[in-house]
Amino acid sequence: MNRILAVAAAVLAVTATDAKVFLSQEEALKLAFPAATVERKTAFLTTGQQRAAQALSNDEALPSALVVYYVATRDGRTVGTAYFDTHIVRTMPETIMVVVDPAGRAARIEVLSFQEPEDYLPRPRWYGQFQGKPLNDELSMKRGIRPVAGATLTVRATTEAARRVLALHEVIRRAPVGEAASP
Amino acid sequence: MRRVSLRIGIGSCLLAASTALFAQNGPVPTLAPAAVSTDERIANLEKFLAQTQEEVAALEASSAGASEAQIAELERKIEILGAEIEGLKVGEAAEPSDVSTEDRTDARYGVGVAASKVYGIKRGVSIGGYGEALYENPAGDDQSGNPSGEVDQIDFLRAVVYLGYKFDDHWVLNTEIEYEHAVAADGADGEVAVEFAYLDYMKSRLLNVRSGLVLMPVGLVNELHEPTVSISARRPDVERVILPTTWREIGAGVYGESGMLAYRAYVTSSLDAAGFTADGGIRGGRQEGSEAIAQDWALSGRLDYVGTAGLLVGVSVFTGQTGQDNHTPSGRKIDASTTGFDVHADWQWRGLWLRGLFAQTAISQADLINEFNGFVGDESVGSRQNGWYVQGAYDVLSFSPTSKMSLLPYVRYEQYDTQEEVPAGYARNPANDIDVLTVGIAFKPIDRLIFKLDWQQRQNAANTGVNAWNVALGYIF
Repeated sequence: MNRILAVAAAVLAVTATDAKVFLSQEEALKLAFPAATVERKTAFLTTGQQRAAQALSNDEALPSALVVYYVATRDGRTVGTAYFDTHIVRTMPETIMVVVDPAGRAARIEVLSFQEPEDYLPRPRWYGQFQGKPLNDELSMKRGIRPVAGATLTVRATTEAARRVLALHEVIRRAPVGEAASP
Repeated sequence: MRRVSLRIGIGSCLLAASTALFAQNGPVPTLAPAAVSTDERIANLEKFLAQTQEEVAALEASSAGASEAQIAELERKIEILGAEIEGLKVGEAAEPSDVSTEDRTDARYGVGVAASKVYGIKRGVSIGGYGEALYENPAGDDQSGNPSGEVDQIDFLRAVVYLGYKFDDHWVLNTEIEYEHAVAADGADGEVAVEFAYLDYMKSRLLNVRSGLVLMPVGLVNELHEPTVSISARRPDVERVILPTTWREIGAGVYGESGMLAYRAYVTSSLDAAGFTADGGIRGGRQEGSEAIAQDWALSGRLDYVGTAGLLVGVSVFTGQTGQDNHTPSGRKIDASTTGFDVHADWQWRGLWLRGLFAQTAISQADLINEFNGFVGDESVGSRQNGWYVQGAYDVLSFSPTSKMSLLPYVRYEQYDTQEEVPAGYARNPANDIDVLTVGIAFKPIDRLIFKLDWQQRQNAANTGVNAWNVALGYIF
């Protein structure tokens, strides 16, 4: 038993150093767009645009009329657009960043904060399967997104958030500059 | 201090704006500010912002409009409000972590984004739960055609409450309180139990520490035993008998993952061999953290491949002495070293869901356990016990990818024997050599609700198996 306690004490000593589990918005943007210029933009959707986004995402709720997004450019070319989506997983919220590539496909997802027990958080590798996925029927737990046993609610919430973001991105992209986007 | 004051000031401004909106345009003008939720504040701020933006557009379009300076000022205010609403929505993650207050101020148009910390305290409590009810309709005759003697039964198997508390980014408490069989009272079968209650110190994905009453990291069901994850009306027999779910012990250990592998390793209280039986295997040896005898300790762990989304393949092991300082009537000390392992796999691809498991347990000194308990003949504890199952299900509603409903026909075959081997001088009971075929269908109207109907063909080598229909409902929240 003494040996076991000694091992446990050693493990605790190793883990006692500080560490950051989640990302801030700024850190997430730096991670997604290294050496890029990131510009924050605001879009004010019309009711018609809100409904169009809802229809595209197949979401139950109408999206907010206010959409904040971050456009990253490098050498004058857009390299991606980031959106932050906060949603409820089980009873607590999660905030993720969804990066959309210039072709309108999901490029990257990062978890910024997760208030549920981490047992419900899929592994980082799981989020990789969203890369390159456009907004279509494949972006679904029943099709192209593989679920995770024991984290179904998080998987569902993340997939819905990705659909929501891609739908909003599409609606904003369709709108003439100045109509839905901020100055 | 300056940072805090700044936040309070921003928060006050937003509160004032939100409250003013309620006074002028809000749907419930009588609401006091204290009763207004953050979501309501956000909604009203968004409305206010949209109106302001329309006014700006109108001014810009008007020939007798405001000056460029006025328009620029209005646009600047809109940007500030937009940033604040975003901060409220995103919450703590909006807070830059490694920049100075001055930098933060510059980045946020002269005001910080941390108003969310004024409005909302850090939300640390998590509440969840699950429950399941089961109706069992056994056949009147056993597999030999003799009266089975079994009666129909309906039972609210479990009502469970999860309570978690996140102290900070590193320390988390997670608990599960379970009520079994609806009524826990003298003369009733029910019980109230703490299924798990542990503290996690989360350092990184690679290494974390867990201590308390923990679920043993074995098999597919023990740690993930919610009714929506276990698709059949009853859990697989193999994961009730050979791996005795829900199996928990008090101890501590580490868990984490690296690359494509995830692991857990614990030191915990061990089983008590005095509770082992011929038909129940090691199930009766669980101490469940209730005044558990701690003369013997055990090691347990698992290693899973998690490198492919939707696929889990792994092994788990448990080993430890289980004699707990007991002695036979003849005075021999019982060590009863018990070692079990399982190999498991779970694969989900589109609508298909496959899983399988093989488990085996070996117990030394089973003869001494028999002597201690007075077991004779075919009542012997098995010195080797094993079992396996394969299960397949398919969501026929996967053809409709946007549907939130699932309809899953499933089939499972399992075989197990709690007396695969017995000590010399004892006999195996063929009634413990069992195979079960389960065929059923599960319906999930939404992810968190499930209704199940299945038929089980239960056979054993003594020809006394009794088939049964089962109906169950389950929920999680």
